[in-house]
Amino acid sequence: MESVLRLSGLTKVYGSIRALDGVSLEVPEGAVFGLLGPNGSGKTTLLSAITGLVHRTAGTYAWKGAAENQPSAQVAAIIEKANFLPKLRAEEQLGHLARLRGLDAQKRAAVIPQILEKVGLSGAADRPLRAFSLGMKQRFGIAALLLSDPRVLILDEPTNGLDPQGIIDIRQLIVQLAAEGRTIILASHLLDEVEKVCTHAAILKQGRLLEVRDLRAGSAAETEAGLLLEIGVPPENLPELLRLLQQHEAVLSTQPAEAEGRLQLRLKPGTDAAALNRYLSGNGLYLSHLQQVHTRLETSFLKALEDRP
Amino acid sequence: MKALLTVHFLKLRFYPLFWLVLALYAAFVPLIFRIFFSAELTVNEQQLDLGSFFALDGSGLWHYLMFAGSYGVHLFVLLMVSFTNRDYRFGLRRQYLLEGQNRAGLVLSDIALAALFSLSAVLLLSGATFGLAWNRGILISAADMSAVFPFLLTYILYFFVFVMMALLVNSFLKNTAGSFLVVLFWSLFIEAVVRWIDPSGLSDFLPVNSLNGLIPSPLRVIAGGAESVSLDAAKVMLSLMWGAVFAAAYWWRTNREDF
Repeated sequence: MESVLRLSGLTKVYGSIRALDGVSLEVPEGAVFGLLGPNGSGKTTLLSAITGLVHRTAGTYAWKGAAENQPSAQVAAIIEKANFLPKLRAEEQLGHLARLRGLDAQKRAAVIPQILEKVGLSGAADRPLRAFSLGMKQRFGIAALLLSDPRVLILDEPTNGLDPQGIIDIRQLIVQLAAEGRTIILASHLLDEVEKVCTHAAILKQGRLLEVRDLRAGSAAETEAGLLLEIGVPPENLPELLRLLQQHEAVLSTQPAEAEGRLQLRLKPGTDAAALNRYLSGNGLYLSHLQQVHTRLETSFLKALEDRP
Repeated sequence: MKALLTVHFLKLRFYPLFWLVLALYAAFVPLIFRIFFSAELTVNEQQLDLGSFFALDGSGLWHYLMFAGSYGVHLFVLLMVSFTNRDYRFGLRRQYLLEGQNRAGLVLSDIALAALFSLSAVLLLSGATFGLAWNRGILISAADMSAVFPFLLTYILYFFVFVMMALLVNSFLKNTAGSFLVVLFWSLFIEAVVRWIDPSGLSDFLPVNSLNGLIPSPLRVIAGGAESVSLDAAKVMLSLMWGAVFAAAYWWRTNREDF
């Protein structure tokens, strides 16, 4: 897959602090690329550097179709928070931004209502931004990004401070925008968020890039190796469970799980959990617990942070 | 830059301080005139019309009002730093960059705004002058206008350089009150003190002293210090140089800044 952004040794130093320390990575076109890291790891500095808000100390960045170390007109970004005048009405504010993006009056009149509709704010077009809830402001920020129909969207902590419904709304919007073929670069310190919406994840710590993971490759690897399940029965039924599993040809391995009365087992590729459950219930053994075990991003994130201090 | 300037105008429409400054300045010029140049005093039980001391003919009126109005430059300094700081406070400058504008556009739109504020000042001054002339029955002839025209240009330059100085100070302080007070105290006291303690005379080239040469005092003519109100070409050149220096420094500062 072609890269939409390529970083090479990107470094930013503020006084004695190396906010970014030689970061090199590539963002594939069409990816939802998560930047993960604890607060102060350099995520926002990285986004600011690649959008020209802060000056690089060393290294380079190159957007597809743009000169090296130059921001791209195909990229729209919200960094830290969307910045707007609170007294302006939503429609009016978008009008200002559309002017800056070079949209003429006719195009502005056509595009602005469409975009407000897309982010679910068409009913709030006449309201001033100061009357918006945090979730509405975040959605309005995304609306502003869409004015120029960019190919790349950069979102910095887009669900910060939102209530659960707001988080779901923003996630759905991100998934929808990605489905339209846009590349999305998403900075977050929320592992769950990145895991749910991203195809790739880069882990940053103290300005250094620790790891880049293709999250889809992780899922594919799991499917190829066969399902890893955790199952449970009342402790008195555990010997019977072990006996039945030994007789089942699709069970590759078993090992005790942490909780009492539970086992972790790996099935042959192509075998699903429902078939195993039917086999056990057909032999009079009913499971009290059945769950697929994933190699979670959280596990590798924590491992990466621990391994490299 | 054009789009950014349009957005600045759209923002100014709803910016109360903009209208307040224009209104205050429009009121300030006639008020100063009224207090200093046309008050009636009672001295030893005799009515004394101060206006009779001054040559309030067509061009004389212009010069008195320009001199009085030049003290209102600080209102425009306040407007410019406040308006710019509002952009900083709401993160609008970084948003403009994210919306595809460049740093040169930010600087040029600010310079254009400073020039337009300066033009507004001279237009308000003109309005006040014609209003007072009509009110007092003073005829302003075409000859008066052509004689006064160069002074009107230097009046614009005076305001522009002052506002650019404020923009530069504010690009470091990013604080409306702080920047306003620095410019106010520098222009009213600090530069005068520096000139007073500097024996070399080099401090004569400092900005406010240069700028003061753009608004010659008509009172010097009355006091016998000068035959007529005239411009000092050297000070006009120096003021232009200071304007260029402030604009270049502001450009440099904005280009180096991390937003």
